[in-house]
Amino acid sequence: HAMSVLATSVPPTFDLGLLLINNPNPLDPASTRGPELEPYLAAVARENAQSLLSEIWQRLPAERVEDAVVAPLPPPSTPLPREKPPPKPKPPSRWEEFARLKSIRRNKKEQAVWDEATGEWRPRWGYGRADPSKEWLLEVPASADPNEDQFGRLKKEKKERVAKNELQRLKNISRNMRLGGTLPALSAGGGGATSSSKELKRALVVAKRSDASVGQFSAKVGGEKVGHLQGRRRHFLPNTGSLTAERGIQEQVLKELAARRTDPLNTERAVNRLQQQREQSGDAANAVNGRRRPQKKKTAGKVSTEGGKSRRQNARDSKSRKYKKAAASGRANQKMKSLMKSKTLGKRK
Amino acid sequence: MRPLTEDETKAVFEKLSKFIGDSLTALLNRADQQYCLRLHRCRVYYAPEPTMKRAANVQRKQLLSFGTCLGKFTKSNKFHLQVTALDFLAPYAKHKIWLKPSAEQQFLYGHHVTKAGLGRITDATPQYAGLVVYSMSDTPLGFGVAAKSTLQSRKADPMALVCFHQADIGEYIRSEATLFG
Repeated sequence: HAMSVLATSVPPTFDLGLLLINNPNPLDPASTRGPELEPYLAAVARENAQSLLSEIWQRLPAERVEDAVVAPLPPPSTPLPREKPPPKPKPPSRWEEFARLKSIRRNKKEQAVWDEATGEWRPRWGYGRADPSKEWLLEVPASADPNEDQFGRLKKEKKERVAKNELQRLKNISRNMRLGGTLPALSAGGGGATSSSKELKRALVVAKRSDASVGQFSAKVGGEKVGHLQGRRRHFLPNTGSLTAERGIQEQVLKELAARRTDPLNTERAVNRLQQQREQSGDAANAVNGRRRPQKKKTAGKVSTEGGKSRRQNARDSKSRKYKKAAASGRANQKMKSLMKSKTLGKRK
Repeated sequence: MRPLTEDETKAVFEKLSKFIGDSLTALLNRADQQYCLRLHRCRVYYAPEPTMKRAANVQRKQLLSFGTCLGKFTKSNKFHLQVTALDFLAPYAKHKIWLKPSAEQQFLYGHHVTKAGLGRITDATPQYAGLVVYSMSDTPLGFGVAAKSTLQSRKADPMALVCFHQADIGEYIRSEATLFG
């Protein structure tokens, strides 16, 4: 085909970030019929690909990375359609509805508050705040029962407030779910990325240690497996004081060890007794053999060769032969022989 | 200094029970004084409670030892018994082995016990059981592991090993620098 498809035509546009060439020119109607279709289409594709690659190498600065020449692509300029539908807006909670109706707006508060008692500026929340529950002295109001525990009352009220807040929060969540929303994202999960169980576990670990005592006293959630080295601190029993907890652990370990013992009847001892009785009764078939021919010493880790031995092995053999000769005639052997003659070696307890 | 965790207690008791078996309870529930196990710088110490309390008043870096050191935990958390525990293993030992005078010196230098050095061995010792090694005059020399059971050791030839050496009282001189950290 001598016809160039790009001769009198609109120049193509490029989106190099997506490796996209946009050639708006229509296909030649004469060539799309009959047997010329396939070769024509192949030619069109080839020319477009050629112009895309030449555009890449012309337009972009080339770099050298180790042995290759590389052109970094620019960010894509073509907007792609959404993969998933857009998220639905969250329905407002009961408070948000109320605030909207009454046009209550949020007042931005400063962090520091003047504390009259200590005469200094204190943060409104967090470390170093003027906590009424940490007061050393509480006045009993005139209207209250003089025998009532004021500190306990404050604690109880705080607990009730916290519980009420938690209840409202859960109600909001359940209303959202009922109206077709999703569960709120966990703050420790990285903004909604809690799809896998691994991420959920990670979020649980982070949440548990996000309190003042770094999770030391957090109770175990049902089915939770805590790694023995998880968390920054290990918790040990106190050194002095009552030893009951320690004793408890020791008793438990002893019980486990006792349970593991598989042979309460001591069959080994029974077999030994039987063997001794047989030997003493002079049963020839079951008697212990006389002094067997001593076996060659095997060296650990050395593979024994079939035929020829190495020089080292020969040297060792000769040494062992020397010792065997000495042993054969020495006092040790006489003692051994006398011991073998006597019926039992082990002293019965 | 701190009490042992459950895993550490298990490791220590397993090792001890290999040598003394059920008599482990006699070590823990003593009539005279309350004894306790403490971990200090990777070593396990067995001491009466008043001693332990006094030792707790010493700075950690400067506390060398208190009570009896039973053994140490290695870097990979395995427990090794040391010869300093011999005083508590010897009276309650389940399986014992007596060495001939000729083999005593070999054992005290750290070598294994061969059949030729074997004087007596407790009946019905299974293979790889914990053994406490005595001299013929009933002095505890150390402890080790039975390389062969009693039956097997009777049929073995003189150069075969019957007891693998683990600790001996010669270590008080040989390993003086490392016994107490």
